[in-house]
Amino acid sequence: MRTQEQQGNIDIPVLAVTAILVGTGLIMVYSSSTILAMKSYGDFFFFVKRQLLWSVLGFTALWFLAHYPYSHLRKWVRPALFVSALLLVAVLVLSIGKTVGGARRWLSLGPISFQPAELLKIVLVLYLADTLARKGERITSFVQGVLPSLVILGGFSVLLLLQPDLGTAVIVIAVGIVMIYLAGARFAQLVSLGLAALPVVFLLIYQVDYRRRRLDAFLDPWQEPLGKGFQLIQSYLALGSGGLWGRGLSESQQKLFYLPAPHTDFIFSIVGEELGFVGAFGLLLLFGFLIWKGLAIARRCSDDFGKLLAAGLTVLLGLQTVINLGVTTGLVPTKGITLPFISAGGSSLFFSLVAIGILLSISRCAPEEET
Amino acid sequence: MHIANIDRRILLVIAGFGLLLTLLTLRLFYLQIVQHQHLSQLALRQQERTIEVQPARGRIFDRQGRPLALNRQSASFYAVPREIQAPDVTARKLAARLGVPARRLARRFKSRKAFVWVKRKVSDKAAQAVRDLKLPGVHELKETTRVYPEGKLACHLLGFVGLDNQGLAGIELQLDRAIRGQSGWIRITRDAQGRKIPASTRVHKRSHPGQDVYLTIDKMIQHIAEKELARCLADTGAQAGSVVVMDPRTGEILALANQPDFDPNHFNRYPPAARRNRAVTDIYEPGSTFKIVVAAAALEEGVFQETDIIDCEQGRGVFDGLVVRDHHPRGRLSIKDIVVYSSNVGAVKIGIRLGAEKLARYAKAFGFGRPTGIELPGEAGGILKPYHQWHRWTATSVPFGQGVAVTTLQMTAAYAAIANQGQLIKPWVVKEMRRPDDIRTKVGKPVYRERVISSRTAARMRKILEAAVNEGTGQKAVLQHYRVAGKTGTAQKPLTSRRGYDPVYHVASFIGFLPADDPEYLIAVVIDGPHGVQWGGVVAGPVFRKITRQLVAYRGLPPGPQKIYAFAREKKNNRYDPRQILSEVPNVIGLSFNQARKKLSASGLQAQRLGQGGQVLGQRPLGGRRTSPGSPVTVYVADPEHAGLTDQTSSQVVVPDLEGQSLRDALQIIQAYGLRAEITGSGLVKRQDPRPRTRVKIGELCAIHGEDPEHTP
Repeated sequence: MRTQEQQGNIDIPVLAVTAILVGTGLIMVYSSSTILAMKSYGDFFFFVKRQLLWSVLGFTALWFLAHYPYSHLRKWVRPALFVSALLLVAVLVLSIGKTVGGARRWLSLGPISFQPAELLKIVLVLYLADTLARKGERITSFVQGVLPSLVILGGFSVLLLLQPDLGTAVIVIAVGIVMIYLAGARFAQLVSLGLAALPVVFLLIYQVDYRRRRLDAFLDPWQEPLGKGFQLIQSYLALGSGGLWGRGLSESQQKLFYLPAPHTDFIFSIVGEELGFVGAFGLLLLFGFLIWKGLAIARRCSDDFGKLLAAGLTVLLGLQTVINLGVTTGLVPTKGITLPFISAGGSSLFFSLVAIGILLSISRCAPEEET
Repeated sequence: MHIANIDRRILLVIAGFGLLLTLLTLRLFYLQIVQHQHLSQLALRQQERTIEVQPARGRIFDRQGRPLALNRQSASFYAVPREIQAPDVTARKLAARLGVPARRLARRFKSRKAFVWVKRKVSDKAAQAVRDLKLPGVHELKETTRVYPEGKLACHLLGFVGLDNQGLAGIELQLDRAIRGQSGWIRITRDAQGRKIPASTRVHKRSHPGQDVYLTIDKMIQHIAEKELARCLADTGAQAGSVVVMDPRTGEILALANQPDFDPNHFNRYPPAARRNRAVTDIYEPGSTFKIVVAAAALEEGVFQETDIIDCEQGRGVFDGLVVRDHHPRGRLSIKDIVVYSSNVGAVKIGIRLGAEKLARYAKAFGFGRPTGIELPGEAGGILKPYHQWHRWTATSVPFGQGVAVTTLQMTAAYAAIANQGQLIKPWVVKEMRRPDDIRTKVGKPVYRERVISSRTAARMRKILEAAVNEGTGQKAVLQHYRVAGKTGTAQKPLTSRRGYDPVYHVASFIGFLPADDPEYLIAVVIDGPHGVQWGGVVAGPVFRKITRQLVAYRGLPPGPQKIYAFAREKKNNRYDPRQILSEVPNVIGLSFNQARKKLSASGLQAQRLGQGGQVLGQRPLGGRRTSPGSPVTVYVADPEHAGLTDQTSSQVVVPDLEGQSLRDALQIIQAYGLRAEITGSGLVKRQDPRPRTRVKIGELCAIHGEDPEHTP
């Protein structure tokens, strides 16, 4: 196992696109949340200030990680996994867990609160990259190669489902499966695994009432435009009234208490309403560029851990993006997943920037096979 | 060491993301470009709020166009709670000026609603006081308020409206759809919590005012009826009563009064019992007034003639175990006198000869047991069981008006059939409806129902009823110089708690019409539970007389020979010759009032002066006509300089144009022309009836209505 200490330059386009996304996020959070913020907290800038603070913290972490050799992260994997598990349990058990909207996802530490689930996603990717890189040829064996990772993934998914946080559990499992696939597992194994998991997913959804309602609403939102289908229809109305060029920045009507969560899960609907198809498609291109660059870094990297880590982090961000956009456009049932860099939410923004920081660190490893 | 194929697999992942992002792009294109029109219209629809603009309610007038219900603009105040900084202070200030409890206001101001009422339809003075406070967050809205300028007058007919101008009773309820008009609306862009977004107000549709309603009611007759009914209740201590005045020729209701009454401007200050239109909604056992049914049926069927004699058994008869008594016991009576002296025993015997089945048929034909169909809400149909359900005692009690229940209006309609040649007629109150552009949408017409009795039988019944007034129980209803027909009723009140009848209180009634031979006015008076004397003739008869006396003066009904039947009875062998009992009226036009008075009293007539001035310009009856000895002759006097205005021979006058004159000046002018004035409103003359330059007889009524120039409704 080689460790790269040679210091190449960090990937400037990735950093630039990240900065543009975070900047866009700040503007959109401002535009979509001021009236809500004024009403709820008596302060127009309540959410923007928080978002700004977290982006400063996030970029600091990014800068640090970008200059921290990513291979050194391997020694932190197991303690981090342990801490994550501890925090998740703490959220469930201790009274410090803050209940929001019927779910216990936050840990309150004085003035700041954060979601351990956001930390966990990064840590799990780190763990998988580490452990899968060690497996080598053994990955083709189900029991020795795939099963241990699946057990860890399964265990954390159960913790997440207890919060309950189906969205993150789905993301974590999906990212895990992609990473196991990248690590060389046989395709057929994964497919059969996926088929075996289907009844479990079905049960999970249909046993919990609100998830079933979400699914029903997704299948036919117009059935109950004021009930189950309300949020999705309001999202359609926002996107639809944007048209080609949009109503113009800050001109959204739907953010005026029609569209629930206009600054978090459904911020993309407001982007579509205010900036139109042009703006929404532009944002899509930026995310596409970031995903392509992230996976390119993975390909370019010379060691398996780096490859798997870069790919895993990119897939993590990319899947969250695709699922969030799928939800706002009605292609995927409502999940409660934020749009990375854009949605208001400190933990999400911070750990997205942490992921980019690690990615940038990997980008610095010299292209070995390229000429 | 490298994982096999990892780079190829990463390429596959890139391809996968490329596919997903393409899919999302297509979806975005579909929603934002293809569906743009549809979705933005849906969005607009929910982002706009429609605020209803209340139309002006149609007005209600009497038959001569005198206003009974109008509208006034008044101020309502509402608050937007989030704009109020100091709810408690604001509430206290408003409470002091509006009389709403401060605590209630403060609670509203602290609510999370976007809109709360402070107080609606505030008086002008209080509104100005609130405006002067200039409180932030408190706003004003113009609303129309219903105003009934005549207060309690015709309250049960008109009904009243709620806070949102919705008709709740009477004509206001019955014709609500037409009177209400069409609401307009204003669309205002709003957020999901209903707040107005500034500078985006747009009117989409104007409101259309409702239709005006002209009733068959005559305000003056209504006033007379109400006044006399109230006076009777005060005199007798009765709990309730009704008076209906109808033109039996057409079925038009000229007045409909009930006691207790209420002020529709403040209807909620009165108990529901005061708001009931008893003449239409309440039923009672009619008693003797119902005897016309059995009598008319017997005459029509040829079972009896007026002169046939029946033994009334000295006022006590037993029929199938049921004891029937008379108030005024008699022995042998003619059919006519059974009605005249109101013998129950006699009525039962007529009924027995007629047969129960026919009795039931005639009672139904006279309109009992079903609503008359008048345009008023809540009309009761009364109780008249179908013949096959009759108890063996029903046939014994119905002839004298027990075992049936009727409304005052049904009784009025039944008597109208006798007054109106035997044909049943529908009573009605809506003379006309007009759109705001003055186009008539409805013109009331008489509705003639089935023939109940032949016109000959009807004429015979009228003679019997005229005798009942002149010789029998109805003598208190006699009006000098006029031929009056009618029937009294003193009905027992069924107890509500148990079987049997109230031992003390009765329903006293009188229903009659005049002139007896060709009726123009039919009046029903029903007094519920007078104290002391219970007789219909004694309690209700005088009310009838007082109303008719004022009625004929107001409407100018010429007097006729009095007491024809009384006279005929005194000189049984002489035939009735009007020339022997009537005096000829001398012509006094052109004389001074004193000369005229002397000349008239020489002919045994009284002079009644109308107007002021030195010269008689007209008189009624005119010279050469005949009238009863001692009856009044109205002479119209004015100053000689106005003498040229009249044509002395035809005694007609050209009506002057009075518009814009003060009411006081107009009154003097009207009197100078030898006309009688009837004044409503205040300020300057706005309308007059008859119109200027029409020719009318001297002594006719000229109605003027004044309005204050500064506030036109």
